Amino acid sequence: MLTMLVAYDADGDVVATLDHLVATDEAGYVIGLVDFDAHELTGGELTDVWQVAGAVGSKTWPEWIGGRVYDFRVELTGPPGAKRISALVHVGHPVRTVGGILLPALPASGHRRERAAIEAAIAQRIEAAAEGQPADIRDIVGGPDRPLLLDDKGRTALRLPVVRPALPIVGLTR
Amino acid sequence: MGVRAHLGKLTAYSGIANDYGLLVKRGMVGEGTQTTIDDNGLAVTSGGVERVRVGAIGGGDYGLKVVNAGATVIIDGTSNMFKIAATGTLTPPDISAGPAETSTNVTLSTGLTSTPAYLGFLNYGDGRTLPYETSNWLGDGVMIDFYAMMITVVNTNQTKVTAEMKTRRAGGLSGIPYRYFVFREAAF
Repeated sequence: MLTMLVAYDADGDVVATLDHLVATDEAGYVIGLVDFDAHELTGGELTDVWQVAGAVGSKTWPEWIGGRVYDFRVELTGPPGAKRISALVHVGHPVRTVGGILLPALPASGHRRERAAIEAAIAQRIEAAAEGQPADIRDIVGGPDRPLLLDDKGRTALRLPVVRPALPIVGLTR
Repeated sequence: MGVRAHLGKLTAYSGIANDYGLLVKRGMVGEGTQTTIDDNGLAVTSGGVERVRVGAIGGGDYGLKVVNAGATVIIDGTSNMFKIAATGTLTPPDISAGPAETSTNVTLSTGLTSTPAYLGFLNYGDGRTLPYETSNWLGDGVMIDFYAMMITVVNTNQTKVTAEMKTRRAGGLSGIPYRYFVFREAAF
């Protein structure tokens, strides 16, 4: 399953992410996308995929939330050597000084984004899909090029519907 | 109903001498849109204009060629493009007090053996997204903050992305997420 990678420090704070990685063969031809999840589940080391300065580890996460991931702390569960990120816990961020501008702090809400709930929602959507038809899970997980929109408490927010301006299209309108 | 499919000599339909192949269409041959497979590849013709050709696209080239309603070539498969090999984010550590600098990096198993093209953006956090190389200047013309991203090849086929910040501000600077895109040049 396609997932992103989240690297974290000793406190569980996120330090880097990898949304996807294209795999190539020895000749340089593209063969597909690296399956981070399969590698993790079979005990593979994610250092085979990337090394991250300042991180003590990295694990897969089944949704894409873009730069908002830095407002969360990772929670790991599982036996030693086989831990997975079981939840992202919203911790917000302190006041930031960016280029002389003071940006307000984002308070911690404690909201938990649970892996089990996400995976259950995906499984339910796949089960509900018509026989042989793909299941659209973009509203559940977002995607590498379309992260989920989150509110200030770290909860998934609805995107406003796209309204295309009523402009003529070449070849379709006269 | 007329001819809907023809396997064999297509000259009568294409007007090309010694043209052999397979022609299939929904309506009458010679009208509307039809698909032809011949020794030059596969073609979709509409309104008398070959709109799509997969195979020999002319000039000795092979690839994909698409033509719009105005018979202008819009895809010709002769130019390379950049495709995303990897993308993600990274955040340098905060600078508590300047002048100082910090940096962080990720090393990706891209398999790319040469320094790739790349792009990056800074999430400034105030609603603005800025280019990966940004500097702030004081009114006296002296740079006070500098954000940059750079890329190198390591271990012959891994790509290292480094994000760094520098500041002269006594109050320091907060680390902000950098979005990185690593590209590979590829045929269309």
